[in-house]
Amino acid sequence: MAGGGSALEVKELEMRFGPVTALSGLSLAIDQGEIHGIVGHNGSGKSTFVEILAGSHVPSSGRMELFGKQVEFPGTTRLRESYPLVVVHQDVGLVGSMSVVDNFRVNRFRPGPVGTIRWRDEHRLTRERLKALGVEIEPKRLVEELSASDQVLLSVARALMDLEEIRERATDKSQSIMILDEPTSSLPSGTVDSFLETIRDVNRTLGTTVIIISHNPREIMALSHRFSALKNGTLVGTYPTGEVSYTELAALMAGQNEKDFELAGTVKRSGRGVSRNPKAPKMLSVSDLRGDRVKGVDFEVDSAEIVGITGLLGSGYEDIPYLLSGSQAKESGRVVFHDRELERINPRKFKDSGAILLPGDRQLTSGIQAATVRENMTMGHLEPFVRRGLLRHRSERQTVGKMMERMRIRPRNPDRPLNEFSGGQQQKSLIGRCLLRSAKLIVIDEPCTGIDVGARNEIHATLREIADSGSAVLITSCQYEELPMVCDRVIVLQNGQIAGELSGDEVTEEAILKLCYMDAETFAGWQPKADRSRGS
Amino acid sequence: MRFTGTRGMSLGDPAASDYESRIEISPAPAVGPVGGAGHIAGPNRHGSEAVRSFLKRYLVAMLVPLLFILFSLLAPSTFFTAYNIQTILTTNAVLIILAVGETAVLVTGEFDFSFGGTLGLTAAIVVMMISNLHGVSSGEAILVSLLAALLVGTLNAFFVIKLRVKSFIVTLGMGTLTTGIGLGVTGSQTVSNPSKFLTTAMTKHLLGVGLPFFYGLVLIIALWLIFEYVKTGRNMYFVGEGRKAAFLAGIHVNRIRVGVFIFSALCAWLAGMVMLGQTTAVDATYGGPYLLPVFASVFLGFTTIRAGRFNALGTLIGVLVLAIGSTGLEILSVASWVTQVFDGGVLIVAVALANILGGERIDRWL
Repeated sequence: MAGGGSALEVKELEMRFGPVTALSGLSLAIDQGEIHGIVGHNGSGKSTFVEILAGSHVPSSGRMELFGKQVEFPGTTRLRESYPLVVVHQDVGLVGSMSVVDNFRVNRFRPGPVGTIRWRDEHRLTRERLKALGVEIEPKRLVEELSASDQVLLSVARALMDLEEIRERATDKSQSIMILDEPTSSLPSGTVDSFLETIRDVNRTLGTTVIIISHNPREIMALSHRFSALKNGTLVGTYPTGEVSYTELAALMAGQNEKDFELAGTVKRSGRGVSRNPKAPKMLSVSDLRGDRVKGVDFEVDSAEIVGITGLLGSGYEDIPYLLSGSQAKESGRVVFHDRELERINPRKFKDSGAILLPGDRQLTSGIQAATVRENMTMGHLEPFVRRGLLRHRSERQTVGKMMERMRIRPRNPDRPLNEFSGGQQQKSLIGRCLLRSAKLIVIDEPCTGIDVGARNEIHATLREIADSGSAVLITSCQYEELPMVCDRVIVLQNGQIAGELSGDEVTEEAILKLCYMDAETFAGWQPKADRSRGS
Repeated sequence: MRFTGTRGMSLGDPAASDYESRIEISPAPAVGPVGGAGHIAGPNRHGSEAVRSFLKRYLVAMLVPLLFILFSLLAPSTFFTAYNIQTILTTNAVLIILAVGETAVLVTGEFDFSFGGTLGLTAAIVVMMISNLHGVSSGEAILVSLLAALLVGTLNAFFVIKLRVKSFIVTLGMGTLTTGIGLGVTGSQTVSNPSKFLTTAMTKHLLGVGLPFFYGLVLIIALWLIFEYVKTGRNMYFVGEGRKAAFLAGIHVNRIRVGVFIFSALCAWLAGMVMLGQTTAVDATYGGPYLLPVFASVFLGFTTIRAGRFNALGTLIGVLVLAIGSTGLEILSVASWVTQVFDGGVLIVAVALANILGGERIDRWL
């Protein structure tokens, strides 16, 4: 490690979004020349931390030092560009419809004598730079045609170019920081190692300080010198990577669960009054489901049961609802619902078979924001309100009004556009769609993203009601803390395959997180008490 | 635009990027302006809110009586006469019929610029078949022109839906293409209408108003019924407002999109027949000048009655505003170019109004 002292230090960072606190007094120091990992699970504040460094957010309070000098937070482009700091974003920040050279040299083209771009020189430069990173890409190609790993490498190459500019200006050449936000999340697994090697090289040869945000414990173990674990917007601790075992790291990444689990009591698991014959066919049974990211998954959901499917982002769990409903093409898989195999499925047939899918994005995929609550609630199943070919508005309005009353959606005006309601009220309205249709199978993607606790509890209670009425409920969610509150069983995916299944009392946030991060053997050997690293 | 927040432009598989944007549930989405449009106006805003919402709905609708009164006062002896009113309604039948087709297309979030060409082509086919082929009856010629219109609509739909070309491009090209074929069919001549049947059907009067106006009125009413009282109409709106959500909810998105292109072509065909019957001679380019008034009417309609939605009554009002305005200006014997200034100006003002009153949603179209 070159230099000494800290490259970046933040003190007492506070960041609030409305009523939600994302960072509460985060203090963190990163040494010059090190590779520093930042870990923590969803909501720990690590993304907010990156956003602040990238200048997209300015914290409510706190201080920031770069190489020992106190600086302002980089809220403006001018400030951002004056700092020896480059960020490679998760979604890599490239323009897909433009060429590699355009993306690579954006804003940096060197004009020729009459102000025109010397394309030949630019192409040569781009080709050389990419080659230095071990990739051979034709600069004329469009970025969207590149593989995911080449895209990541392109954005790293661009960041390195920025760094070089910074170093040209800087007095101390080693004073530069590169921040990588989940850089490997879109990389195919085979290319991760060489990518990490590239980063290691950059760190070693240029003396660049590297901050890497990752949810992958292997990556942190392999790459970082030290890492900091974040939780609930504060620092749990900073640890030298060499002195921490893999299991300890995974436990730290998972965070602890001192969250108030009394909330979990709000939705009582039904005693499953429906007595079940274990041999009877299940309401839904899926075998060998395969898609882009799903690699052979089998599971069953019974009537009166709520099953959750989760995993880390990219593990494939998020595709399950869309593979089931046929909106994403599946490579293979047998889906039997209600004793009938769903073949050559599409959303229309899925609906007609008596199932309902509620997608995960209220803005784009589940709700029509400009349409009224009434229209949203009855979308896709207007038939009960049609008599002699004509829609009966009165009966539709009445039914929706009753549902709004039942779901406690305020204000209770069926003819108000969806976008005039809060996120929680919107989601309740969309769940109302599932209730209106007494479907035998309800598949809900991310039922409680971005909504308040009150609405969440109400939604959980409703889902339980639906299940108790004899339907099968399948939830996919990355909100690990909510799954134990509502699910009877939780299936966790890793790399497109089932890493484990939890049921009954085993379903805890902690267990889910461990399953997300650990391989099966490690998980089997995991004892909660072994968690020495629990501080605070 | 360096490494700034670029969540919105992630690459690759769109489904994957949907999920990427969810990565790390930082609390921001809960309160960001995107999801948080739910702040309901406080009590202090009630008064102005009511005025706003009234204006939003009826400002453009009120233009109809206001313009009518204005021109009646300015030209009481020529404008404010039964004959003039009858003429306005009769001569704007073509515009009403074309605007109905366009409304259906715009509701689903597509464009159709090809109606002008379809109108010219179908009219040309009828004329040339009757005059040049022996023994072809009016009925047969009209049937062939109807098939031609169906073909145009189907081709539009094929390119837009199967080949995923933007409807803007496809129909723009199709409009010129069909106009060209029309010119070829007529040998680029203005040809006179040989069909007695059409002349009779299109020049009969009811209450002094030409029958075609009533055809248009029937179409307006039918479209209104479909939008308000038929499942398909509701689904058309969903397709326009949230295609992905509609698809995932099991709505036949593509069937609806195919349907509107064909419907629009059929409206253009009917408009072609009306024009042929109403005028003694036609030329394949006669549909061209309707491009702007049709869009102006439909967008004016977007701002009224069911403000923020394309709607049938709104479209009728849009046509009336344009019709009264341009006839009034002509009667005041302002030079004829003023009509174009009026039509173009109204389109811009209508869209600006829609922007101010309807918020940002209209941006998706314009």
